[in-house]
Amino acid sequence: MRQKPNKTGKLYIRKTAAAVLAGMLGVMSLIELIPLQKSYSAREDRELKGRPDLSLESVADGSFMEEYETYREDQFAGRSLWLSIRNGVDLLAGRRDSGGVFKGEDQYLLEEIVQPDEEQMQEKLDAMKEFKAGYGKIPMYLMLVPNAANVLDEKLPRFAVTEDQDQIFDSVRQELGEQITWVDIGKTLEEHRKEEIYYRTDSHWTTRGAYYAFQKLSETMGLNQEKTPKWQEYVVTNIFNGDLSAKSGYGGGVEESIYIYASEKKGEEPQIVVEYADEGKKTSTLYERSKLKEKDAYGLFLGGDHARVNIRTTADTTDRLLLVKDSYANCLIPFLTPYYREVIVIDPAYYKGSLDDIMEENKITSVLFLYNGNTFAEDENINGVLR
Amino acid sequence: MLFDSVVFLFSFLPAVLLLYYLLPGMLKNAVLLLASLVFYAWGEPTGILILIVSVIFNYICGLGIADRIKDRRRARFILRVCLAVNLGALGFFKYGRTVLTGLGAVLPVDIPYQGEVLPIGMTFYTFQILSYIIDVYWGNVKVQKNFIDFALYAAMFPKLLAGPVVRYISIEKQLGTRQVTVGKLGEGMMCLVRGLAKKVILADTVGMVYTKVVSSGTGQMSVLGAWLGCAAFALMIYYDFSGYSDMAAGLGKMAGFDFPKNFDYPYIAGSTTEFWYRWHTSVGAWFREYVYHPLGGGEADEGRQVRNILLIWLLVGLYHGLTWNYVVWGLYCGLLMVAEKLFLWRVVDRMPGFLGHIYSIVLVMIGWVFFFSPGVGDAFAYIGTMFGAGARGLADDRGMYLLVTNLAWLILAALGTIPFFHKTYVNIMDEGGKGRAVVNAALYGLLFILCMVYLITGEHVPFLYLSF
Repeated sequence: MRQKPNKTGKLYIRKTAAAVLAGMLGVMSLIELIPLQKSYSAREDRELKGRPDLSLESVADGSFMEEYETYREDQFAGRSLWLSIRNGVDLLAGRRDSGGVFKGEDQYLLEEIVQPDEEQMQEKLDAMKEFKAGYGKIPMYLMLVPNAANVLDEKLPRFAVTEDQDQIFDSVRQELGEQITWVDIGKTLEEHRKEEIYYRTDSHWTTRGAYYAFQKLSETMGLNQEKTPKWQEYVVTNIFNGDLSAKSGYGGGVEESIYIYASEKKGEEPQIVVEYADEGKKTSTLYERSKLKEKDAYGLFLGGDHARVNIRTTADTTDRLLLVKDSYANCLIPFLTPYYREVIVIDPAYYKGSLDDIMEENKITSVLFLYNGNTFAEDENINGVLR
Repeated sequence: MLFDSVVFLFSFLPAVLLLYYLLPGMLKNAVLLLASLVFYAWGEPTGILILIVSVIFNYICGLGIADRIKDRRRARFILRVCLAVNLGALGFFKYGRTVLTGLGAVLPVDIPYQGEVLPIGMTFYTFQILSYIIDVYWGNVKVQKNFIDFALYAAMFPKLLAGPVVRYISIEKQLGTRQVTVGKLGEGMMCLVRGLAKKVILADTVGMVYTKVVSSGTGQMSVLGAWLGCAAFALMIYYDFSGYSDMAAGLGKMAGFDFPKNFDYPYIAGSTTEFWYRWHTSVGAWFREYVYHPLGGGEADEGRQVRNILLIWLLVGLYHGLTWNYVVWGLYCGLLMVAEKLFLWRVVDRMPGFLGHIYSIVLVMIGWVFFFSPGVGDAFAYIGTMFGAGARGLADDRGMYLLVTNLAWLILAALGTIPFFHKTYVNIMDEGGKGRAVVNAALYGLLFILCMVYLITGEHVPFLYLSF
């Protein structure tokens, strides 16, 4: 063997590589045989694919194979470890966005602005106008909340560009014309941009952001200011780490506060009864404190998203509000309670009924549509409930 | 089943390798054939029937031609029938839809039939089958009487979907006897990991840059953005395709086969002619052997040569699809090659080396614009943007952001197109010694892990050439 050190060397290298690489392949394949299944990835905040059912048809049309491949990938051993490594490598290589989330300055994570599909948006706005036309006298309002990347654009990473949400909002506003009143909170939030109006690690606005927006809303809707209690900010947790942190993999260590607003003096706010229509559950609070212990602590407000929530108050009025909304509304609802006898809260993403029934049965006196810009751009459910 | 999927790497491959190594020599081809059929059926549950019928048909054609090899007239007849059936089938699947859609738009009547979807790999399969049939007719190879060996050549899973186009003549002997050794397994594994890394790490990462650039539309691009997108595409298509070829070669090696090289550092070429000699060499060799030479090759007079080069490039263009952008791309490449052959060579030869590389890279990149643009008009708009016409300034934030946040990968990918780094690495390792062997294995092990990371967390962009 000494005579041909070169050749032996090459062969030795190949054999070593064969042992190590084939060994790794073998070990990984054996680990993969262990039938462990997870149904949910908290890290990515999404459902993981389970084992697909085997049938003659699904094999013949290839759908079984496709689903099986997704299943194997979703259930791959050490998935969250791979995700962390990937994030580390990307960050090291200079990437500043992941999963549609920018890693901005001051630990801000900012969701990409969604550009709506024009046709879909048109259908949505047409449906809203038509709905309004059916209830001529009842005032209707649309409040679109700009997303953090729009208001806090100076926090975006260097050179980062997003879609122009102001322009998207402008065209919505123009399209709706006078029929549905536009609640213009863009400037309001802009004025308070130096304050904590958006969470750093979550896709929502903070209660303070909602509070400022509510000032504008109240003005636009002409709410009776005499009923307004003196609101006071209270911290309910200091260890909140929101959904964007999970979605992007950035900002895992960041902890922030969640505030709620309550009246300084007892009795200034009306008493309330909150009825979760689907669950048949009744409580006397708008807050679900048990959620603070869960990963998604924003669920504190109204216990997360529900198809329909009926809020009855002791407020001295006969006004009744229908609120069609996404999760951004959840932390704003407490501010609305002093002015309405009843607030019917509908989340079209879950609610499958029709709004016409509610309008009649509950003698609704105003309607408010409240969405954040991104959800409104992506939503495909509003049309359904308006019909 | 794709090479960069969990099912392939961690179920199919280990199972096949285990069986293949454990079973005695005479059963190895049968195992590989069976595995190939499973492999194909997994992705094309109906296409597998077409494949089986075609293999049987061509097997019989081969026998038929060989039987009448002395009677040229009858042999030629079978050859022509066989070519017509193979090319007809390919044309039907490849162009049927486009033609019918086109007709539907022109004709006043509705055509209810929409054509079929091209079964994956049919083009590559047809090229390879024809190399066998034609070479049998020419008497270059002996007819393959063993059906299993023949079917294995036709459908071998490492090269079935997207090449390399292995001519029958080049692995005729290997089908009968070949060495299956641990050393080859090691070489194959390294080749597989390299190819996997090229695909899932480099191609998919720079591919994302390309996708982001073109998604903004030509009107919204700066000069920087347009060049960045084009460069990202040039790198993506290279790493995607050569990565696939490396994986195929590696898988072949594990089973004892040596496939011809498919990519030879094309971006270091000094002219576009040289570029195409280094790019997808196996299909280039096929066109030279079975189209260019029969048409007269380099022996013909200059006028014919020019015609033939243009004809072949038109075919290459059409091979990618029945749309104008591919036709223009093919003619663009053909005209450049003709120009280089007739007069540009004087200029190219006298240019300093680095200028030659820039000349070649820029012209190839402009060619890619025709390749990736949906239409010829879009391509010209894009090229215009690259040179400032209709561009949103020299540089914009969108372009800068993509450049800055992907700079590391882009540089790495660009450096990987020159042979220096890999050659130096191989030279150092080849000096041998235990230490080096361990270091090499560890580095490849790490690369393998990184590949798994990208495989699991990546976007899963299918190999580009699967659709051609």
